Amino acid sequence: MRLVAVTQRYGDVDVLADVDLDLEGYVAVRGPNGSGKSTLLRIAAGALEPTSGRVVGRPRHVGYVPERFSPPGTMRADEYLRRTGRVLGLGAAEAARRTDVLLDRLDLRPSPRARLGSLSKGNRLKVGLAHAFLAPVGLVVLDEARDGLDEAASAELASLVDEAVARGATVLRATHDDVTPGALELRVGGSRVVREVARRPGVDTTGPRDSHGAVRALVREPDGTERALTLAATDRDAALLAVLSHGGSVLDVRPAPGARSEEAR
Amino acid sequence: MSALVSYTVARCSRAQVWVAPWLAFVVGVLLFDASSGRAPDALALNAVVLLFVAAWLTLTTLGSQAAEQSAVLAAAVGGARRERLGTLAAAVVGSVALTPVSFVVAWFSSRDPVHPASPAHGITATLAVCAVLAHVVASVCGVVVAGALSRPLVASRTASLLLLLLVAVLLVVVPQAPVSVAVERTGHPGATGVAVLAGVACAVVGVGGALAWWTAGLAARRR
Repeated sequence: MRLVAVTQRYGDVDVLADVDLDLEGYVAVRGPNGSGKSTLLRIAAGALEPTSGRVVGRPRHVGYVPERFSPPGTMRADEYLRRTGRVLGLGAAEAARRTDVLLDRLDLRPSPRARLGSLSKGNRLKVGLAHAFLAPVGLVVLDEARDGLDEAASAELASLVDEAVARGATVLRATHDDVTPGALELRVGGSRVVREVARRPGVDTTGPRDSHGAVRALVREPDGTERALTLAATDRDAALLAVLSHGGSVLDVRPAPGARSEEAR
Repeated sequence: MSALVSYTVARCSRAQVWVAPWLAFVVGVLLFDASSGRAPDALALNAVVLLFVAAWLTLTTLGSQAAEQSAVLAAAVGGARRERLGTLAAAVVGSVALTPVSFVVAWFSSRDPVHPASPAHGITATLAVCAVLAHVVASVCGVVVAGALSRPLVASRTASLLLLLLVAVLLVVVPQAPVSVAVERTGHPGATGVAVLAGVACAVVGVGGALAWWTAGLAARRR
């Protein structure tokens, strides 16, 4: 999917100006508040038509979770997902089946038949995530969709993202966390700039899935920003090389907390 | 698109956002039909009432959904423009659904001067076709006008209501306006009336659809 010369103007202010992007795989969008991340995501998802420019190759159906998910409070969670599943192009039976599977995976409380208005913020967000991953769509857009999720649901979200990327979908996610392995990181700035920083292998937000030989690295990026990264053993060398090859510095590397040494395997 | 229309109808039913416009329609047709006497006049008047009710119903449909949820549906259905069009189509469904109510009230309140004992109360098949077409024309006109004069295209709700009232009145009083034609032909049903009304209905659906598509595009850029 490509964004071609996309400009979004609110009044006299260009939030995005002449943005050209190729999007594929897992893409993390980072930037300060008000920098245009959500606008970029809404345009990519098709929820907003840009003032000028175009989006090429966007799939017909897109799973999207906005920053503030506000579903209709009077509808039951399972009914909402079955109906929006139909909007996403699923048949009735498949929508019902996927609804049951995803609500079970995300452990919706108190029950899938609860009215959306009665759910807590975290559980409402689980319904939003279930909607986004309900159909095998080619694009999933998540706008900082992790606030309020418990640890188990966050881990399940990571799995859902991995599965979507594995089947060839593009996952575009605004985040303030470190980016996950293999992610393409975009920086959105208030100065109308969207800059592709790097495709960073091995950078994991949730900690390495295999803790053997995992390290915690402190790196300094070319713009002076210092970041702590947790790197799996299999990715650490490539990740640190990527940082160095993009003009950054590696300040410190030490075993990640809880990681077992390679010799102990 | 049909899935989105079905979703929107379900959402509006659960939230009961159509109850007030529907009740207003029932009260309106009861008041007007009591004084009309003839079934063709009653049904024609009901179509006029439906024009205003369709516009109101559209405003409540568009206004009862959070902008974030509209964005979620826009992404799911293939774009903000399609989402807006689907929501307007649901409003047409909610409006046209009042047609049977219109017939029931007209049936009870009408008196056939030629055959007072007729069980049909003067509602012939030709009149029924004309009346259905008139209700469709009024619904589509009300929905398209309200869709064009609502947020985010018209920011102020007061301005939106005033403009809506002005355009709706023009659609009724201007002799060649679609709703005027529909009302006039319903009052004089016949083969010509059906043909003219069918033509008007097709034109209104076509032009109204194009206008709604264009205004939906404007709305999609201003979310």
